[in-house]
Amino acid sequence: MKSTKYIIRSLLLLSTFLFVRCESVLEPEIFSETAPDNLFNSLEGVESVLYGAYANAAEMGGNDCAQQISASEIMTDVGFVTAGAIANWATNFQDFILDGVGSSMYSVFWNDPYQAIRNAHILLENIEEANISEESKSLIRAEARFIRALSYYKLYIRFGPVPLRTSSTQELEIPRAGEQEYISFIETELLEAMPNLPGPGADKQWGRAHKAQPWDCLPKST
Amino acid sequence: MKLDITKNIGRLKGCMPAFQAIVLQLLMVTSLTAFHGPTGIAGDNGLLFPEAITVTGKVTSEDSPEGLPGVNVTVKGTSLGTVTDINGTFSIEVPSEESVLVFSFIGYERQEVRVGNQTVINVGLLPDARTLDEVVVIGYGTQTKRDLTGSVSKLTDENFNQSVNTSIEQLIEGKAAGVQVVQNSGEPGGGMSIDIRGVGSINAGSAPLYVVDGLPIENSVLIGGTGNQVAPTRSPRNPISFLNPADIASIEILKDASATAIYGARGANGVILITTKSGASGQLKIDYNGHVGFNTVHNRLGLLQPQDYMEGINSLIEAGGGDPTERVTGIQAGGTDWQEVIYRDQALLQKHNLSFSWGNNQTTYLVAVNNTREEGLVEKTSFNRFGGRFNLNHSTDRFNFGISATSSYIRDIFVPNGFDVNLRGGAINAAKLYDPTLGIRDENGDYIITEFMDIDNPLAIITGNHMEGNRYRYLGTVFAEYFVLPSLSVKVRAGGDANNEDKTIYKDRTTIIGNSLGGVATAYNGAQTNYLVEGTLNFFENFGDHDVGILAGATTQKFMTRFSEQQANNFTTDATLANNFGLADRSTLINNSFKETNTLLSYLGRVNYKYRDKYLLTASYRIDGSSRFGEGNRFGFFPSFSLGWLIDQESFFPSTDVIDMLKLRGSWGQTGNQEIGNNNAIVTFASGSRTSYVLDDQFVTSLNPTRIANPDLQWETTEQIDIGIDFSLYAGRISGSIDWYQKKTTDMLLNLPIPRSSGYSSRLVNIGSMENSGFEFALTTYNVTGRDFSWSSDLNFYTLKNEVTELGGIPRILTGSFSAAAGNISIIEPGQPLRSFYGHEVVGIWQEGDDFSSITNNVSPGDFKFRDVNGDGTIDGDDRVILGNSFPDFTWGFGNTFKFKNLSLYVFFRGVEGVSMINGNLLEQYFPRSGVRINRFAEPFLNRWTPSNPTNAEPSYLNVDQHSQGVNSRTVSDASFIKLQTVRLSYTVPARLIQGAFRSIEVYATGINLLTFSDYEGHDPALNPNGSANFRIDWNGYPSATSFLFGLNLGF
Repeated sequence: MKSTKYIIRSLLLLSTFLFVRCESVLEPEIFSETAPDNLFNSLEGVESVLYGAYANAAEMGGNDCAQQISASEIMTDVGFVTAGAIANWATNFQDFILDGVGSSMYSVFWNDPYQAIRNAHILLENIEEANISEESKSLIRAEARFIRALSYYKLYIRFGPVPLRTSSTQELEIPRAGEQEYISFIETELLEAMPNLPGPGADKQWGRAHKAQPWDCLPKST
Repeated sequence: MKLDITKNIGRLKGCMPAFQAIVLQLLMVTSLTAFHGPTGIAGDNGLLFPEAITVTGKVTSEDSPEGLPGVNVTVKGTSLGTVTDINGTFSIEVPSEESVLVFSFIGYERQEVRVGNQTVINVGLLPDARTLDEVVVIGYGTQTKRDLTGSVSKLTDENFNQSVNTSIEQLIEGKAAGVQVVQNSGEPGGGMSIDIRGVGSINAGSAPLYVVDGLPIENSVLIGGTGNQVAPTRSPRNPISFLNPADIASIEILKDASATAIYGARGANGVILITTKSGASGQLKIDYNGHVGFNTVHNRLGLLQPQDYMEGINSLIEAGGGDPTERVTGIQAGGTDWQEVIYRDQALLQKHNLSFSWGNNQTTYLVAVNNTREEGLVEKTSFNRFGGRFNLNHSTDRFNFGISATSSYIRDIFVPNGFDVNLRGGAINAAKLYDPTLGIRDENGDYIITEFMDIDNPLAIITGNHMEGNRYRYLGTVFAEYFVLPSLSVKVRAGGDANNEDKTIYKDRTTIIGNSLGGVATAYNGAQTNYLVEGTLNFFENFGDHDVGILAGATTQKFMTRFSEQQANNFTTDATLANNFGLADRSTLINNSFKETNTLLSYLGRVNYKYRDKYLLTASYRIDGSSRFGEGNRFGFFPSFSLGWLIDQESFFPSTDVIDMLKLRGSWGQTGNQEIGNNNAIVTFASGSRTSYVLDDQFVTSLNPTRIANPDLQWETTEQIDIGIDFSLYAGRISGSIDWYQKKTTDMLLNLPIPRSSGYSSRLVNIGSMENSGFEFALTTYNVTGRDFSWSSDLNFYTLKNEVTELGGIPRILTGSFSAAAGNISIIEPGQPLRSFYGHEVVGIWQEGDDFSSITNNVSPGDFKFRDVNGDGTIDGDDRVILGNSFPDFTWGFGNTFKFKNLSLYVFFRGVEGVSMINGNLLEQYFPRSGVRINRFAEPFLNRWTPSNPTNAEPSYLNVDQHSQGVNSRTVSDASFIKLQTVRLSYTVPARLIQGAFRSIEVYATGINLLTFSDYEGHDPALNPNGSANFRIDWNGYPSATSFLFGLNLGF
């Protein structure tokens, strides 16, 4: 009898120490990263994703700017590469060996525009629920569509018609689009974005899209 | 007063083995203390002047009741002694009644008997509790070595490496079969990596779990950053350096599933259990252990001398490899050996440990303080640790209680060094490449800077960069165990680990970048804490033929990390270094911070069953919940099962004196790996790689999504089977074990490459599988056991085969890079070892008269000739093949201890066979990023191809366009080696010479990392600067050291 009393007592002791908790203890706590449910509550939050789209479309950070212009410069005798880091990524292009290996230029040519397109999709798909004014929504929607079109345009110049991704939820593997479908997509996007963009000089911040820019791409794409 | 020990053994026979061992040892201790009275001379018979007494007797044992021959009988504290004859009898003359006779024989416990007034002393020796009843710490408990069914390597003080000892990995390097310890940096306190039984994961970590006194610790690097404009390092200093190796009593390495499954989702890579020393009962004992010594660079790079450099570089330029304006025009002041400039000739080191231990039957205390300081091989670098420890252990019939607490402060001083080039490259990169024809300073005292390379003067890099850090660590565990019944106990444990670090880096105006930016400062600050609470129920009972042990419990651990950094340039003055950001140009100030947490909640249980002391069974189960996994998969289930059969106990087994123990064991189990970082199951946004974008002349913050969410994300499962044999022969004279294991990891956490058109490069999913298998062999032998001379050996060797078996449908992943090489250097492909080197095969050198039209590439005589694998006439990415891998086929360690009277000599060799490493330093010289004027390895360069030396072994160094074929069979080198790792000579002062306050004195001299036999061209084939154990890239590595130490161990 005494031993059972001890057993019960010790089990109680044990259980208080164990404080058996439920699964909610395992919910991840997010401190420094923002999540969709809190980010789109403010204009600043939405704009930060938009700026991300601009940054990717601009291809300017780090060595990206140099890599962006290298191909056209060195393959046309405007520039010539001999040594240094740039020799690592540009020499193959200079010799017209378009080998997939060993040039970080492909990353700038292919990945950057698609990352801009990705951000554009996130904006377009979530902006309805965002806690911002209708005016802002329409402007940002237009900017996102423009950035997407611009990015596809850049990809077209470099690679021809490429996989045409139009939403975040599409499956990951998609085939290249047909030429006509591709060009008409870019054209539609540019024409539909134009009305909602501000006139030149009226843009919220210098560097953001305005009406003149879609005009710039349209003739080249048709 | 003499206790008849043999009689008491009979009484205890019915008890459990563990208790038997403990009681025996208590009896030993009490019998010893009874005999060692404070007054020696005034004995029972009152004689003041001792005269020789002849003592005879017979030594027997349980297995040899007729007499045990060959037993050493010595008189303690003298050189008198004899050996028992064939009948086990002996006869010896002792100087006085106070003399103590010591009976010792390998495989049996030593016994000491005071002569007193006896002339006939008969002794019954007992089998050495050390080898068979030795207790091994396993997860959440202990087990005797005999009853162990899992694969566990135990290392104690005797086995530990005699080493510089800044961190515990150095203690076990080369000592345990299956445990690969690889040095990543020769820095003081430098990083080391451990892989146990291969690598089981591609993207989740492969480091084992470290548990210190029951507390699993967070062993990741908190501040790995090196500062703005400074080379990043892949081998940061070792986080576990806070733990003083001298505080450690034993290290148990859990290798197979049966031993590690109790650690569930953290057990897949093996578990290293560390138990710190506890005090000894009795009077206050003070121990001092210290050594001083110095380090020198083990092997410097063989670079060109100024004269050879001038002739060689000029001939390259003449042949068209450079511009005539780049010619070497002369040698200033005899030239400079830049390696000589940056390395210390002798880097001093010292270690001091002082420990106090005291206690009584119930409670023991240990207080220890230590200081370890080491100058690094590169000037200015150093490591300095101050630490303290307090351990308390209280044990009574019904209640056990213990505290184990340590705190340490480490001061690190660094010099930039790492995986980067040109102006951001570190001191070693600069010394390796810099122009040897230059002097160090000009007439004005300013550093001479070469105009032909974008590299800073190597000495300027050292004096102009101020990099230092402080690490504060507090670790403590407390446990209390209450015995409700003698067989049932409740144990509660709580522990905490708090780590605070800060690091500042300042580049002053004597460096090129510092000068152009007006001083560059970075400051990091971080904290990493975790706490643990756990409770277990332990039950152990013996029911006749059955011994049953049950463990059940729950544990929870919460981790938190906080980190902040700031950078700024253009300071008013260099004088304040990075200590006053207020003096910087405000427009350059960048600030960043983050915080993250993760939680673990687990339930565990284990059953140990033994039948008739012959058949053993262990089964365990653990349920682990982690906040890192997706909502659908929060909990993981990890079972294990193992069996053991003590064959020598079987009736059919011939009873022989040869085999003391022969155990066959097998195990199966599943463990998990959850080392994937936090928040990977959900979508979050973070500042992307392009953190600042400019609009309207202002910086704006941009955010990018960090990943595609994967709510199904779960841990990796590793299933392992292990079959082993443990044996002990000739009363413990030969003992060892053989294991064969196979580990299969499925649901591998993999950053699966996905089409980049999605905007992401990869998605973390559970897919794919990998296999590791091998043999392990460990052997300890006492070859000669004489009174004056003895010789014992330790041998371990193991094989490892790693193979990626499945990649979820993807044919291959190209991965791994460093900026001296083009593109990715390794491949992950089903059927091949993980991260095998992938590049071109060199078949020779193009010679004059060869048919150059056979390939379309632009090559001339003197260029590398590669194999056109697909025969399409162009050498490009499609001609790559697998060139080797970083997994050693065969690893071994062989140590020998020779003792002659009071001298002891220990010699330890170790080696690795069948491993490759990419020689980044060599690759960089064939395809320089910094221009034609870089210095080169002398031997290959002086033997390079020229029209007058048409060799087929070395190229002309002229064609730098072959850079995309930089990963080739010449640069991926064989890194197999044999090393004379340690030689230690020690002298223990004999007891009779010790007077006064001293209890024991030992002096020793040790040489470490003395010789390396290898074909590898570089600092050290054993060093992997790439920060891991099994992916080897040698580039700008901080060299390893050859050390010489002189030490002293004193007991008061």
